[in-house]
Amino acid sequence: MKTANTVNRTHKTTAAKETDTAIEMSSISKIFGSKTVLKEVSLSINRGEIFGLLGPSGAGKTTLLKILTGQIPPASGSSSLFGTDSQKRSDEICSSIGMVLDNSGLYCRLNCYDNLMLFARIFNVKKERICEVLQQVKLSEDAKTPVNQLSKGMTQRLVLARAILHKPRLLFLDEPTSGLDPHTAEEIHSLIFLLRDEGATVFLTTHNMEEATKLCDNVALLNEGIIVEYGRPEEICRKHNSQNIVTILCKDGTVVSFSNHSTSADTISTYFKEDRVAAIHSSEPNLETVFIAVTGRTLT
Amino acid sequence: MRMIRGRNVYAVFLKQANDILKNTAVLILFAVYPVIAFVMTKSIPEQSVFFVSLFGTMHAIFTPLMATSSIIAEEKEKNTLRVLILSNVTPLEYLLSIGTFVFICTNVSAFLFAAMAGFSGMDYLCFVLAMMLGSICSIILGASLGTFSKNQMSASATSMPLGMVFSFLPMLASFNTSVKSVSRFTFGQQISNLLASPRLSTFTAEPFIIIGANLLIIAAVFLYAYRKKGLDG
Repeated sequence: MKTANTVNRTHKTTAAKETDTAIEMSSISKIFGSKTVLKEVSLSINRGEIFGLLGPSGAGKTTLLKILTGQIPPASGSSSLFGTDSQKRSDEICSSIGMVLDNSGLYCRLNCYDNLMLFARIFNVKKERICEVLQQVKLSEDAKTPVNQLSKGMTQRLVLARAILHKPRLLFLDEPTSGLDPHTAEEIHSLIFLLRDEGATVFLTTHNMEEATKLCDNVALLNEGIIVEYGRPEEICRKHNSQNIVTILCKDGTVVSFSNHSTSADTISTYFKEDRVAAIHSSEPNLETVFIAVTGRTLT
Repeated sequence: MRMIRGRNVYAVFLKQANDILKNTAVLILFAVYPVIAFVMTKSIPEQSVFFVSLFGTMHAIFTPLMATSSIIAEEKEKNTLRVLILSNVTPLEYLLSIGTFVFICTNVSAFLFAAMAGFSGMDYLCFVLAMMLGSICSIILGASLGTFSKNQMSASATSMPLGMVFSFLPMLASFNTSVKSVSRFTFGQQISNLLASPRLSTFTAEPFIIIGANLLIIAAVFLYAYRKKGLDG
């Protein structure tokens, strides 16, 4: 059934969907006290994609992530990871997923290597893999540094290293670059792309729309527990491009706008031929503007 | 119920061993009573059995209670326990690892205490076993307090007075008969009695019945705490 809050983006046959779907959510609701945090959320996320759950603080992102990782049960509805009920914390599920939570959960007196060693033992991973992931997150030289002496960016990279240590098929990242400087955030982005290229599915929550636009294959905008928009970031922006105009900033400082239509092509071409164009912009809104337009709320 | 996986218990145990070496506060806790007992028995050798039973009781009761509650509460506070449980370490595996670790750390000194008092043969063995029995009660009590507490601060606030009640009551009871009449129903007093006179021939059923009853109550408290709060917050 397709409800107002249901998005079914899979255009394949049911049989194909079973094998291609990494995460399946069906009518998930969650209530805390008298407050309904999630309302009938249904989504399907394919394997190998980077999916972004976007929304302001308190929208229900972390609650949904907690339900998917089996930390809390939903009030109603169901969710599955690779076809297995996500509420059942089986060995298979645990070894399939890696998590970067809102809190690092690292042992601050232990060094980077020892922190990873604990999880290598739990997941039965060879010691060589620890060096491999430390290298991957560029922490090889700090392997023996205690966690309480690491910077925030290094700590976040170590958390990511712990999450990918056992080569999970699915990664949950809760605000992975929150509070990080642009350079470190960029490094984390590169790692996320690398993991996707290696075949992992990435589910990330963020309220950074720029990051989501850059990273995600698909995004869902969550507001007050309801998915208000879903799709590819550029498609969403295009869909909400109500002005649909092209603006040219001329070298002499003047700004001219044209309808984004074939009828404007000749005029725009003239500007280029006369070498008057300093910059050209389309009027597509960014995800943040779309979110504000759809919900009337800001993203803080 | 899921099986206990030795790999997980071993992993957490080794982590704890590694972590404790860098945790001065807990490390001192394990050393303080054996050191005091050593100093006192060397200073007043004729009272060595008294000092060993006194500080041995404190060590067997106070130390594991404080250490267990502190370790669990810290893991809850810093979210490390949540990460472990999400990595498929079951609460039982975790508690078994921490309990075993604290048990070993506490009872390594049991052999030293017995040697300080000059016990040998069966007396030596009975002394060590009595200390082990006391530490088991305290570990479960500490696990209950750690489970109940949100953070280390609140764990210390509850385990400190409770630890003092159980471990210091035997000493106070030796000065006051009213205290003694109450204290005899606590496992701390019974452990203290067993440590002061660890002779198999003098053992009666009473201390074991009282310790057993205490253990049942403590286990019930732990189950209540676990069901109420859980380990992963």
